[in-house]
Amino acid sequence: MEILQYDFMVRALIAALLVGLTAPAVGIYLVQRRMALMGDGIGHIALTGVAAGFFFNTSPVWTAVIVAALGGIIVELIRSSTRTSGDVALAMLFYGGIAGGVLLMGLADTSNVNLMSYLFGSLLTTSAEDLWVIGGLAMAVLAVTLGGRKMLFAICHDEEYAKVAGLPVRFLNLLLVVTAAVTVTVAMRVVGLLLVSALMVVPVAAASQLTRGFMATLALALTIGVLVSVGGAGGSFYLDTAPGATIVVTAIAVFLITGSLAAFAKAVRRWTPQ
Amino acid sequence: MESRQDEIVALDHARVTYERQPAIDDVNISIRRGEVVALLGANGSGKTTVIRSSLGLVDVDHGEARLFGTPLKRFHQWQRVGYVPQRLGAGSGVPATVTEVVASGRLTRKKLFNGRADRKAIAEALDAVGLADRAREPVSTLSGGQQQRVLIARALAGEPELLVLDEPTVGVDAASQQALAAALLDRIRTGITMLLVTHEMGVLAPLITRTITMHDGHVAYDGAPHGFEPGDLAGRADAHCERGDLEQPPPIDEHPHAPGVTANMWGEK
Repeated sequence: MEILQYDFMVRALIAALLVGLTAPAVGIYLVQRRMALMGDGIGHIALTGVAAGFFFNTSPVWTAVIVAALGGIIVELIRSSTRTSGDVALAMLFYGGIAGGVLLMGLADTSNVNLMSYLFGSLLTTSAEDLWVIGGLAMAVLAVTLGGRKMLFAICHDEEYAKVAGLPVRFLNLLLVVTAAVTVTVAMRVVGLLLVSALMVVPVAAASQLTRGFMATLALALTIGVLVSVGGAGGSFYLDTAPGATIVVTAIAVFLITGSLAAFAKAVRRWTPQ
Repeated sequence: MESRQDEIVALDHARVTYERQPAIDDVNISIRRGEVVALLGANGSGKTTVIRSSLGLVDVDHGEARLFGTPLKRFHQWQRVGYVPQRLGAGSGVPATVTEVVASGRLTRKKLFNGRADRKAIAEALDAVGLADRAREPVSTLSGGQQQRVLIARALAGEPELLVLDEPTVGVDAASQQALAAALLDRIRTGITMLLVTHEMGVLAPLITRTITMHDGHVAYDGAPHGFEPGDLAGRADAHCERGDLEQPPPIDEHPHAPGVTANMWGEK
């Protein structure tokens, strides 16, 4: 295959594969809890972390992990301690994240090209070191989200019940947001901070059109995540389009297909005599 | 002082305050092993707060809450407790099968790799509530009453010694109510202790050994269910069927903290 003759494309496809696995693995819990936009918010906050990396002349990935994780913890504390008034506080945090990031990048005298590469991804510039970092973080994310799936399912499904069952609910909630923050930074290279959330949410939404249970949804969402990420990244090579956007558009196309299939199946059931 | 050995649920001079308004105040309740207690009262009387504080879902800001004789702060044996909330929250964004929900009930057991015992307990719990044939279906396709039974199965799957139920019969169809009463009766025979919040005892009346009526954040009545002899399941079931007793004057208790305030354990007619 022509595409595999280019080292940068091989690295890009591996990065896409890792992100396609991890993003839905975290996203399923956020969707289950009806907090699908959480990943989006953490993505906004992570921009400040990226900018801080440029400002202090260190690796933007690690500063992004730290700032996004701190932001995620604040978001979780707001969520768990307030009922409705948290809404505005979250909005401020998210917009503050974008604005702070752009501001810091200006102060650090970084080019707009750099800013754009973090907002919308720059898959093709993935280096070998980047791959090691992405790979390590992806393994950690999968260890938490797959290894802890029963407990995370319980707290996202019915938090009060989980408390009475004696689960460390507060710890698990914090673990989940920190994992989401790590995932955002893993995925920012591939689809960009503004589209990270799409890869967390859309494969899960597409899978749940066809499934009846949680574990089945998890398995199918990971499969769809990998297919659209690798397929989208490969497709962008031939179509000469932006990889991040191509991946997300592919994911939405898959969602439309599974949604239509589900609607069709329902109609068939309704019209078939019992 | 009485021995705490048999004390399963206890509130000692408990007060819970929501936004400076006490929801319950100076509440003393002690439930002993094997009792089946109905917590009655109008909306806002504090009955849900009683169970939420005794389970640690809200903190008491004065007094003490104990489970199995241990103050809640030091209580860790949550596998002994089964909780059935009133409703499954806002509904989940991802489908879940009946079995998956009931399997959460096994998490109290803290053994992660105990597959055979888990599967057996889950199957038995589903059987007890009459939903064995729906095990692989998504919870969202079940009726409200069936969903309630799923939540009861989840609590039963943990094989608890204490079962706490919040309004288990509200909005539940007649068939489900019967299935529910049968499942609970089964567990009562094995000696389980039960605390249930309810508006009206309905089909569960024959199971109840004691009623506590809340009024305005205080205990207004605590004693034998009216018209039944406690400890005689069959006798009470018959009495319940005839139900002539409701025509008698209801028991009136004077409020211990508000002389002159009376409470009717059956609610206002």
